[in-house]
Amino acid sequence: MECPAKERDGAAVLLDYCTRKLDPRSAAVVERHVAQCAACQDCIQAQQAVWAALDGWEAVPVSPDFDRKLYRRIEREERPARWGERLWPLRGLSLRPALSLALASVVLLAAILIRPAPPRPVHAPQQAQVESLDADRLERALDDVEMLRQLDAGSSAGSQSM
Amino acid sequence: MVAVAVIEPDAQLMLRVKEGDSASFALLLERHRAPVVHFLYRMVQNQAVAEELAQEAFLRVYRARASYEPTAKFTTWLFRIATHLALNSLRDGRFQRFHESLDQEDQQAASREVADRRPTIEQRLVDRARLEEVRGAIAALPAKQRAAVLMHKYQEMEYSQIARVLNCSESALKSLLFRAYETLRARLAHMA
Ligand SMILES: [Zn+2]
Repeated sequence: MECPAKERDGAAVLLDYCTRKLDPRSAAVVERHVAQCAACQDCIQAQQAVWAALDGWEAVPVSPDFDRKLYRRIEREERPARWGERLWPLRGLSLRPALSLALASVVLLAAILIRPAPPRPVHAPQQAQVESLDADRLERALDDVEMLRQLDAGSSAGSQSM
Repeated sequence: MVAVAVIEPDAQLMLRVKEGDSASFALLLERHRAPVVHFLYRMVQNQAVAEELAQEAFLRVYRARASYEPTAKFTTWLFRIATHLALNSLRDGRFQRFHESLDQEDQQAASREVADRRPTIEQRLVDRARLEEVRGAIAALPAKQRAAVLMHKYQEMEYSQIARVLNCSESALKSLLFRAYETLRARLAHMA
């Protein structure tokens, strides 16, 4: 076999050999080569040292209140979402500009109906804040859906590794 | 629609979450909480930041439940979100602000983890120095290489799955891992 330590693609073979991921036949081929190749012997020895060093790095246990904090965040999100759905039933179909425009129109309309005089409506800043929070959340959710779509595209193009 | 029989258990749970079953979300959380937090911890090397990012990752999974389709492995999607968050956080330099608390965090972790083992002071100093070296070597890797090594080493993911998480080809991933381990061998091989 070609010396795997000397070619980029072959390095994965050595890595798989070190982590015992190779099938027995491939492992035997590598073993025969390694027995008479100093470069591969050095590489394997160093890789095993790296592996052992990484094994020594234990992760810190997860905090006991992790779930509580997560569910609180979910709950906080759910509440304004329901309010938002009532206010804007087509939000799932809209994008940020449309949402901003729609909410801005509602604010404007409310301002005209409630207070036709020149001063701005008192609740406008609050409304605007809710609007931008909602739009942010919507945009992030769309990001994640997009990530899922990219994965879908990858899975239909690539091998089925599920 | 894929037949239920061929869908992996995590994807089945996620489909139930999509139908409004919160108990299935709790099961997914139970199963993947520690792996995701540990991965993020090794990425950003700060427990508080890692947990915050992990919560954000699970929150995003929950948020996207309505449009979920079981076409990719659930963990591929989850780790893709987690990696995306970690890379953004590292780019923002958000974790730099937390870096000062590393010592304190280490002490907390050490007291939680080795309280019953009681190693000698010398041994603890040696362990600590070795650990610092490992953490330093991982932290010095470019973020994408770091993510690849962590998923390969600690999550024991297949090349194909890591490649999909990182949105690259399998051969590009192998080359990425090759460079990463080459750097790590140069820095850590003497620790044998
Ligand atoms: Zn060789």
